[in-house]
Amino acid sequence: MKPNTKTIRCIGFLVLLTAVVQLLSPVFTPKNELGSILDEPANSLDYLVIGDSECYTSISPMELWRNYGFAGYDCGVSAQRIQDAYYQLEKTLRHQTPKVILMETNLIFRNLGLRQETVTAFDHYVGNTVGLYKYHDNWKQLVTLGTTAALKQSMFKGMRYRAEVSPYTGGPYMAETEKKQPIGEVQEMYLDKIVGLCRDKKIRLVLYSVPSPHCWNRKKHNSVAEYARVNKLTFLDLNLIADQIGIDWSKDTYDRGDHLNFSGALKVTGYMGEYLSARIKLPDHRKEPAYSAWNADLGEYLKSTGQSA
Amino acid sequence: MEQLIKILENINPDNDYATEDCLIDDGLLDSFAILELVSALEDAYGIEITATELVPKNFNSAQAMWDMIQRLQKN
Amino acid sequence: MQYVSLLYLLVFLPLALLIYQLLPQRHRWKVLLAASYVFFFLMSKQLIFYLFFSTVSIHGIGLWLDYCDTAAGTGTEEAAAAKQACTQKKKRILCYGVLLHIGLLLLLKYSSFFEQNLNWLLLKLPVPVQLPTLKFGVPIGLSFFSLQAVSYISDVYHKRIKADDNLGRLALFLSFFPAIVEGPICRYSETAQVLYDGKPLAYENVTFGIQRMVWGLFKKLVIADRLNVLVEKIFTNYRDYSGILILLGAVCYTLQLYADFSGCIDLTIGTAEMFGVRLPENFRQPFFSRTASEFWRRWHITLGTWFKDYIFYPLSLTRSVKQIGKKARKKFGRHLGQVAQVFLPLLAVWVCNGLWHGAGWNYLFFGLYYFVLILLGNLWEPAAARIAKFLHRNRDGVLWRVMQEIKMAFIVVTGELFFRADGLLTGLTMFRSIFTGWDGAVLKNGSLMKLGLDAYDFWVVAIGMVIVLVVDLLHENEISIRKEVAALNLPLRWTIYLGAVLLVVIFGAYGVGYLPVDPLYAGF
Repeated sequence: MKPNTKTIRCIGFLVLLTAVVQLLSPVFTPKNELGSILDEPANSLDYLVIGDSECYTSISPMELWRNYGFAGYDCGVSAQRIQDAYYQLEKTLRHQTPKVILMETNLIFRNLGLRQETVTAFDHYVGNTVGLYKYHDNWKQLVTLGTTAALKQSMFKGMRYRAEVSPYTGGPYMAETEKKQPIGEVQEMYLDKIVGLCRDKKIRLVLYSVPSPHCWNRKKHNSVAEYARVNKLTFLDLNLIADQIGIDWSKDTYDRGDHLNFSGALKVTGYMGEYLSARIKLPDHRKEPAYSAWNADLGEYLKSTGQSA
Repeated sequence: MEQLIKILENINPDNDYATEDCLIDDGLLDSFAILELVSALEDAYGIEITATELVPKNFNSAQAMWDMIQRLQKN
Repeated sequence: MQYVSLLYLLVFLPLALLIYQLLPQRHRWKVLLAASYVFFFLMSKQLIFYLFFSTVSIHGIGLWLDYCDTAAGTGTEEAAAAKQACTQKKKRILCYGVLLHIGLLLLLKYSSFFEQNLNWLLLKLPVPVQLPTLKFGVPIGLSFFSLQAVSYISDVYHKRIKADDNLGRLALFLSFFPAIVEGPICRYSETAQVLYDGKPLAYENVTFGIQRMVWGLFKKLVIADRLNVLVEKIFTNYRDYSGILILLGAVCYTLQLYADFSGCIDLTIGTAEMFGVRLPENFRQPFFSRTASEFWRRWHITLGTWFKDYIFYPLSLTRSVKQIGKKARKKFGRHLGQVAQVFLPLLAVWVCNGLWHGAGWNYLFFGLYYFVLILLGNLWEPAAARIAKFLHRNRDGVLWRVMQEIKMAFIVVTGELFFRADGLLTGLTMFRSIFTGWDGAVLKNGSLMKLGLDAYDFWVVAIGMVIVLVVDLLHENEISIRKEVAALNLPLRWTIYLGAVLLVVIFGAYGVGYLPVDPLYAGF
């Protein structure tokens, strides 16, 4: 076979592959990219919680609705890098106007190093161009539902409900030290960008850290506390008052001290609720007809979490 | 040469040593058989076979083994 | 930048192929060398020094060994004495060379293990000394290129090859990027020249190479990385599981290890094939083995042959071991004498094999486990043959073969349980709990769905393993699937190729919700 024919065949195959992938990508891409936060009506949320998996396993927006009528959402993404958190926040703020943003600080220290960052960046680039690559795992949904519409999880408002218990037995983990864990250059840059974005939009930014022996320590605390001081931000490090808020490591974690389970989340949410209601005047929407869906969701939520009204 | 083939058949009768020339490459003699063979050849021909000689080239066929034996006997 | 990353597959590799093909033949090896060093640097940064040091040292040692030979001359009686001295000198040089590389390997990989145990011992005896913990960075592929280096200088010593004066060719042999992370462990005589030749890219090489890589990706991404979720959960939280679930964990780990390692090797060999370089096979349908010995001739083949050629035979043929064999044969008869001769060399091989995989007691246990099995297998062999003859049982019959393969499955899974467990004691605990906590109800009460995989995942793994089985059966019968498919008409074969790529992209266990899994053998 002449080399020309072979080359034509190769190019032909690649063209076919590209065409098929382009055809399949929309089938796999879910209608709502940011998940079900886009189900919420525009400008209806008064607070957002951002961060990585520590974020959505620590605060239950439905509890804050139930007790105070505050409307908010957990926007966290598992293992999210701070760069992605920034871009996601930017996007979210195009249809929401919260008064306060709670940022879980664990992701500040997620620094993969230049090489890994390059690999990840390229990966994200391909993912954003080729929907099939990014959303390939939705085949499961396609098989069950015949569609990739986001599953109805609105009753949890972004929280991940985990009730299992796997205790942490390691004892105290916030040993005193003067040392600081350095914040990476790129990470600090994006932290500044988030701070800047909130300032521009006149949103109050509150940094908080979920009790997590696996993820947190005094060195990280010192770094973030210093940053908060310099940038005049509130930093609530719940690791230092874990006992005070009632965290019981034999009952409140589902993975030996990495994340809190629902029982632990209730305690953190309780504390944050008191803080928000005392320090920041957020409106109580419980009697407003525009928020009736929330009351309906509350019933579902209480049932799913085994609580009584 | 006949004595050599007798020795080989004693160790592993499954192969046709007159014609086979890929004894090592095709795995027809495994490592234990080879060690036994080395011992038998050393006793029979009064030679010393060291690890240096243990290459497929010397053991792939009866003829190759015979050539090696003659070479070692000369030294 | 791992092999299984878009950056490698879609940028690094195509760029390497393009530049390779565009350059004139005599410069092509430089592209491969440059690519290999860039790759190595991206993986291990300044630790690339060790690779470079290894290369330069074997280059020198090889030339020195050859020089000794030529300096000794040939022919007369004087020369005979000179030859003796030369042999002694060469032996010494070889020793230094081997010690250098093995010593480096031991230092970087095993010093902390050695230290931990020494400290533990010091505590037990009341010696108030504790060694400080040294922590060394380990360059990627150290366990692999060290063995290749030792094989090179050994081969020069035994005059199987001539020393290479071309540092570039030697450097490429040691560092070739597809094989640096997980092998296969290559021999200079098979690989060095063909890497250096710079043959132009050929259509069949490139297309068949890509197909092999897709097959490797299928095994790694669809099967191995999916099973990883379950395996991690069970082995990390082993105290929460017992009985069937621990057994399931061990079985899944065995499947994961096979799919992962053989999949990555397919990627490696496929990549080399694209450049027209044939690397040695590392797997030959290992689960069709009937004995432990056979298993290790079909699993991680290049490691097995390395141990055979550079430890087993050299040790078995030393004068002292031959003496042991002779005496034992006189006293106990041919068969037992044979076993006596191989006892020590076999023990050495299996201690090395076990520990090569990692610095831990469970790895040593793993090695000794197979040592005992293989030794017993050997001892038992004549008796087994006699019994089979007596019972008129056809040892090559299908039924018998299948029974042996099932027996091997149990043996291999048990070995892998200890291999994966977090330490020897954990392994023993887990093994015991298989029997003490056996509860059939676990299969029906939904526990299976709490291991990180849902029903769809189990189906995908099951179907994937069936596909692997079919492919392995075809390979066992020496059918080249790629050739068969290439002979089909265009629409059909394009559908197959397209389907294969889509299977990997859609059903791969990667992306959001999955943690990336480093190739399992990269850590060894």
